[in-house]
Amino acid sequence: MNAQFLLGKIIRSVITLWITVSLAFVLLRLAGDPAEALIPPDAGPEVVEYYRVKWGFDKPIHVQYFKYFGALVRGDFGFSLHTGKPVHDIVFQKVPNTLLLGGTAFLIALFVGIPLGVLAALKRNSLIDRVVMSFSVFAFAMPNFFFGLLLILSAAMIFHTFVGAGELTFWSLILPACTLGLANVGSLARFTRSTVLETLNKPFMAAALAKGVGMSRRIVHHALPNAAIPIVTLLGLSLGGLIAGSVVTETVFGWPGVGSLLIRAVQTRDLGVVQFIVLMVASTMTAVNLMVDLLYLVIDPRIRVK
Amino acid sequence: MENQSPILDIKNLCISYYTRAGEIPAVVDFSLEVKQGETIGIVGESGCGKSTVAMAIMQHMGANGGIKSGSIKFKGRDMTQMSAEELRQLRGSEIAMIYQEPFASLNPSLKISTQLMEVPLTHESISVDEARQRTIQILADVKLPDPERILNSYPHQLSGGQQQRVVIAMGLLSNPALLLLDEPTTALDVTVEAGIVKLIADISKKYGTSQIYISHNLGLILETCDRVFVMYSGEVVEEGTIDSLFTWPRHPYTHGLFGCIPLPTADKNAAPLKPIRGQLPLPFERPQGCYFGPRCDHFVQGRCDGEHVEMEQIKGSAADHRARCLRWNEIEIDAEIPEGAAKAAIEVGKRVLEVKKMKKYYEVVNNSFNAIISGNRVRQVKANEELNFIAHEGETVAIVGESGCGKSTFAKVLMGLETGTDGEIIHKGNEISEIPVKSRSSGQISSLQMVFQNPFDTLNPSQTIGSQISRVIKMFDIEKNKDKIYEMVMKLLDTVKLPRDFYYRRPRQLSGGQKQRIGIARAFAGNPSMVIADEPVSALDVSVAAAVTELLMEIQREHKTTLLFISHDLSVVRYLSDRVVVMYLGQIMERGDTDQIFSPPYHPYTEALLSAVPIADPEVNKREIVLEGNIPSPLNPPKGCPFSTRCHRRIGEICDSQPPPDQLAAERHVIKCHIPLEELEKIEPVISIPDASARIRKPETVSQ
Repeated sequence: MNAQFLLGKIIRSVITLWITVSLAFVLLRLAGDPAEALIPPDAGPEVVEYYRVKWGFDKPIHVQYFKYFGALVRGDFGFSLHTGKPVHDIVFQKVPNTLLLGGTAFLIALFVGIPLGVLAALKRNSLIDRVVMSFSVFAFAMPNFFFGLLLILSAAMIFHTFVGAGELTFWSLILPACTLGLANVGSLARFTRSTVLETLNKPFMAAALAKGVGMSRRIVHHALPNAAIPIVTLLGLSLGGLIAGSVVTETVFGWPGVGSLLIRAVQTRDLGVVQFIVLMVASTMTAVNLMVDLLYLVIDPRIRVK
Repeated sequence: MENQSPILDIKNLCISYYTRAGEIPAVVDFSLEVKQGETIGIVGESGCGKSTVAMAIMQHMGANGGIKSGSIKFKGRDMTQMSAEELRQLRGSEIAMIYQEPFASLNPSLKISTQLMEVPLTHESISVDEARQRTIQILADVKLPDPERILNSYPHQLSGGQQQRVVIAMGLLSNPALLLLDEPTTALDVTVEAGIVKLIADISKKYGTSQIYISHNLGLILETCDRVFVMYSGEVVEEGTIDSLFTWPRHPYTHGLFGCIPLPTADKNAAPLKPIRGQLPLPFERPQGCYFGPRCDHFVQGRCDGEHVEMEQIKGSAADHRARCLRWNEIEIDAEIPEGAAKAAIEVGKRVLEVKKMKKYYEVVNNSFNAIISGNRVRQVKANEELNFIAHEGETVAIVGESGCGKSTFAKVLMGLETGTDGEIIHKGNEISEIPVKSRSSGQISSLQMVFQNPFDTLNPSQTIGSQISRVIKMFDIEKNKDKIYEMVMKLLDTVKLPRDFYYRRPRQLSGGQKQRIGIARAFAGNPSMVIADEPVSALDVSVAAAVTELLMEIQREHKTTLLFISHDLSVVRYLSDRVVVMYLGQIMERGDTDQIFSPPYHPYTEALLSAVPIADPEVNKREIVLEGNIPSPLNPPKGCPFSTRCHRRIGEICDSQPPPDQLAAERHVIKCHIPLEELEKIEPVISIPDASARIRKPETVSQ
């Protein structure tokens, strides 16, 4: 039964991926002739035509699509139009950096956002609650690029160092990670607060108190598992986004990750690279979604099928 | 006895909630003593503060509640002065609480074993194995079969009755000195409730546990408690022993409550219910002097609205009987007949509804792998199986049964919200069982209307009352002219005894009883020939419910409407219906005139149902029949008689294997049972009421 459930989920994920990749393919082709964008404007029309034929842009779109898809299924993701290198080589070179940044930001969100939310819920309507909630509104109201710039400037003023510009030091990691994590801390704290509050008001929490169960056990064992479902949903969404790379933060800090690569690839119409990144983002998103669905089963016995 | 000092001693307790609107006194000057082994009942309507008292004893008032003054002494120690840790040690070990809804008070994501074993593991230094042994033993004590399976289950895998037994086991695990029960059986079916009530009584007797039993149900309090406290608007208005208070209620409110509940002696024509007028005051709208003043028939201006009224000892009563009334000695409550004025019975007219072999099956599609392989994908739920009955003009037909009996499904088919699977429903000469409501003419729809159970959810919160009723009149093509519609709405408001300016109000400005009156006005807008009332008063408080019930019957009398009254409450059914249909698991077990149903021969299920309903009259004798087990799932009903799994009169194999025959006990009285009629006729009546002369007792007087 559970295997069947899992199979259904996987099939649905594969369909989602296929739709995303196809849409990206069609949209990128409709956005203008890549050959013209890539070739310097002073080159003659015959040069452009040469490359158009070489890259297959002269063929009807469905022929290009089937060719691309056939290669994809065989594990051939194509070449960069720019450098001629295989796209997966180019992208995977950047993935560890993005993972490092995204992972750190995720941990910050997790270990700051959830405890803050729980704390606010427990101290409802107190000063602590108000401070936490104001902070969380500030955190997700603040645009990433602006907060990033602020951090860079402050670091420069206080420590007389200039971080960024693509180096890989502790400081060059922690500042973008904070920037990226901050927005997630805000939404996560707010979300955690409301779902924990809702759980705290449930009769079974009063029943646990009536049993003489201590405060910490009541929160960790009785409340959190029941508050977890919405939190896990939100975590899944933000994890997907973090792993796929943050275009804005990476660009502001000059972090050499997938995000900045994507910007460059789009600017230069490097279709192969863009398509591969889209495919990768879509895959991580669906994979995380699938994981979240499976986590539901672990968390809530009522969802488990008999 | 030996231990004379009380377990719990509450003195002059005042509890307030602090909101933005200011301080709201929830409980005022509350005193209570609980002795070892004693069961105290606290009874009152919603908002009277009874649950607040329980929360104060648990010292769990929420963020904005607080004890303003007074003390709560548990075994001599003042709980209001204790530290959080001291309180934690008391809770669950010395004082345990059982909450209203069993399902809600069990944590859905923890196994039963975790939730039960937690209690001894928290309070005693014992090993996990010992804790497990203890829980298995207590589960046997609360008569749950197969404790190992229960322990490994999650709450949602158990039935309501099983869940409540688990919750009770949880309360009793550490053998507390005091057990608080806040409406412990309100969410359960009556026959299940009867079993739970007996279980609580047996166990607390066995362990000598003191109990505080909070309920809105006077009958239940009578059956379970030694002493009772009646609360009204935050204060106790009367207290005394069960015997004394139920036989000689002194406070006009207590007395009024008894006039509101349909006791077996009440009769809708000869001795109708006497509702208390008005409604419970909100905490910040409490009147000067006596809080009950504005609703009291014995109110005297200048006296009852002066100083706040204190509790006063009822002189001449041996039992410790007190009331908060200045005039308890002057008013002749006994001389006055508690029931309202007699009314003429309505004549029963021509046939309005005929149900012939009506069936409603639902298909449940199981998409699991196993089901697909074995070919059992589609299973049928027989929600209604061969229903037969007739209703006449002006008649009140009650459909009685517990959850899952199919009574609501039948109402849906009748309304056209679902279509029948087989058989016929003939309403005013037309077959309607297969016509969904969308295909019915507006005349058909308006002549068959419904009053819903929950008045809180059935009115659109964003529209005025007037526009909601006008809309019904327009929809049914009764009137097109705007002014005439307005006139009609005004008349309807008069009919349901609401002020005319309610036309411009919105539902949130109305109380529950007022909302239900609007629900009734809406149902009667199209002058229906038949109204289905699905538990119309079960969500309302006793005093309000009586008024709404009376109103419904008055309108029915006037319009000669056929009323199909769906209920689980046999006392109300006995009171207002002419004919009764008793259903169990989709089948009609017995049908007949009300008198026939309430006297032998009974169907064994009717008999058990009668015994299960608590009656708030200490002089009525009742034979105790406690059914074992739970109501089977309609997905998997027993093969033979649907009641065979729980029947206390099961005669053998035949009950399990063969569907019982319809036996004709008298004209229009049918019993579906294998037991021969002669045997059923020999059964003693469940309820016996002493005749009037034997009922007049004198209060025991104090020997001076």
